[in-house]
Amino acid sequence: MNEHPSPEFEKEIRESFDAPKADPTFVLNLRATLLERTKMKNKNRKFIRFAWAGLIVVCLIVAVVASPRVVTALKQWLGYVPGIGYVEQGNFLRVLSAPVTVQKDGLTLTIEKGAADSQQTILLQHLEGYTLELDGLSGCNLPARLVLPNGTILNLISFEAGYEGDKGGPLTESYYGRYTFEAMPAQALQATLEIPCVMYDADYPDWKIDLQFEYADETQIAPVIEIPTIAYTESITPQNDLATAPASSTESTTIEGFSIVLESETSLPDGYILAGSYQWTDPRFDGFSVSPSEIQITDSNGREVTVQQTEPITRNTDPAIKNLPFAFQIIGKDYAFPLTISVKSIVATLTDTATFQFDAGANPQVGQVWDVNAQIPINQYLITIQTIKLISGRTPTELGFEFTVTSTPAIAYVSILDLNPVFIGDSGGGGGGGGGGGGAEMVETFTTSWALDNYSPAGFKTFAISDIGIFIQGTWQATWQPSSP
Amino acid sequence: MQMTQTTDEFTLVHAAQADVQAFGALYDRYVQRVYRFCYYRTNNKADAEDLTAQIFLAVLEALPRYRQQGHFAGWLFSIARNKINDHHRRVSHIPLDESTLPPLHADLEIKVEISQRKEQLMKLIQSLTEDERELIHFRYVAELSFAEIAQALKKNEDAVKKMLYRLIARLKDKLEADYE
Repeated sequence: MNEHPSPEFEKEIRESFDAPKADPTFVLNLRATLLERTKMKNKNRKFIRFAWAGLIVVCLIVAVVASPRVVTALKQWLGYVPGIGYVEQGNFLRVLSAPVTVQKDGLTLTIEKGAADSQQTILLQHLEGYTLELDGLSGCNLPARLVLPNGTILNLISFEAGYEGDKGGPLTESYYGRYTFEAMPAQALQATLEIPCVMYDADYPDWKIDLQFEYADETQIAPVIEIPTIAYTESITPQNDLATAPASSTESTTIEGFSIVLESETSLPDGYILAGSYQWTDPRFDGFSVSPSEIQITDSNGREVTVQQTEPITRNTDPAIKNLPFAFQIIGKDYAFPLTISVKSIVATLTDTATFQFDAGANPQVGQVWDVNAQIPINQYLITIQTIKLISGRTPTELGFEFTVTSTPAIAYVSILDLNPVFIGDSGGGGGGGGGGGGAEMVETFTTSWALDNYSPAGFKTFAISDIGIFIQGTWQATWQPSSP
Repeated sequence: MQMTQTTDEFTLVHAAQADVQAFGALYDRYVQRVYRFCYYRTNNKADAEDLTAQIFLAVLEALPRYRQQGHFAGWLFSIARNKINDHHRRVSHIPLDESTLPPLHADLEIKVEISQRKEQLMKLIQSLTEDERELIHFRYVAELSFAEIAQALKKNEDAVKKMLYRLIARLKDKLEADYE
């Protein structure tokens, strides 16, 4: 009853699903829309980074002349507004007095929250009744803007939107949006949000929403309290339990100088925000190459703490800085403190690359296997391409190669790409190939393969080896005791 | 250009998390599989496009919070599954039974001559329960591994494997019986 189905019957089932491919116009338009949104996100992140850097500068300058107590107070200028995130907490921090709802053209648009500090103005939008247009580009690229009573226009820095269901909201056609505008002048309390077209959709033009702000009081801002880092520096006890790793190749079994640095805490009515960064010094990995893959927070009774990852104070945009900021929202306060933050594995990717050459001959056949045994040293790893096999893909016109790879020390994955793929019917050139590996476990031998439509496998090939991934197991821990209930 | 292997997903996902511009590579890798899955879950081209857009928007928003545990494809298709279930709830006035489902190829512009056996197999698949069809679609349309399906369904991998093997055996028996 539990017998593996025959490949022939599985093939028959697959062939019964001769679904059409998605319309290329749709695919390209959706891609353009998504990438446009990612650009907007990048801008926002860079801005936040600059804003935070500016605040740091202020703190450092004052630190020279101020007493330790004053310095601590200045560092506490960073506040947290639930829903909004981190803000600069000064005398002129303003928040939206009350949500504002406008109904028009079948849509219900609510500006639910807002905050304005000396760096930026943030508005959170909730939209009901909207259906995402499929053509992606509806012909309206006019950004929203904030207009002050004196006519001053504050430009949009970024707009992010998403389906509300992603945030656990009701399963309706509702979308959330987050506008980031230039900073409002210190005394300004009124502004009009002008949206030329909601969700950049020309079908919903000309929205104007009057907004009233008020100066934030202490009850609306949660203070961000600096954690004395030295007291909570990580304890590192890397444990490589990978039986297959050669005893002599310890390089892959740990990551040099990895630490969990807890930097700030924020007490909320229903939990905490705990922010910090993962840092490392290992010269093999740049600032974008390391990612903890198994993180757990437990209380002192061993009970797992419910957490959500949330937007950190800043994001690292410089590969030279070996720092990955994080922020956790701890749900609830009913835990036995202190909490222990544990990283149990890390995925890291080497930045080094190499190439090797291979001649498939004039008439290679699907299924043909070449014993290559090409040895390619990369960094401290010896990658061996044992065999190369010509394979077919999902359709008869898709062809590619499967590589059997070993490595000393063991690795988790690698990409092997055709540097200059030739396509049948083309005069050469075209896109790159795919890559692969063994997944998140270190194995000594694995295969990686790809297939491309109309790919010509014949002749001399130059393959690039890159993205050598290492799965590092161990236990890196930091403990945290909240300074306030 | 269509890739058939997804095993370097960790590299792509990590790149997309560190630099959101790299999201395009992830999109290129999965868009056709997601679309095909949506198409067969809804039997409608417009709905499949709508859902594909929603799914990738959701992935784009959630990616910074995604922790690389398990399989990215499993996570991606769990989002797809949720979106499709939402869609079915919204159009729940349309009963999801065989008699009211549109013909499987209603949207195809290219006329394909379908063999009798193939047509019979399609009918048998249409006659399955919604959960069974979903399992078939995960495996043979989205081309997910058992581990990825298990992650998407939040079930045990062995249980998924057993369910599918039993289902395939049943389908085969019925198909053979029809031809005896």
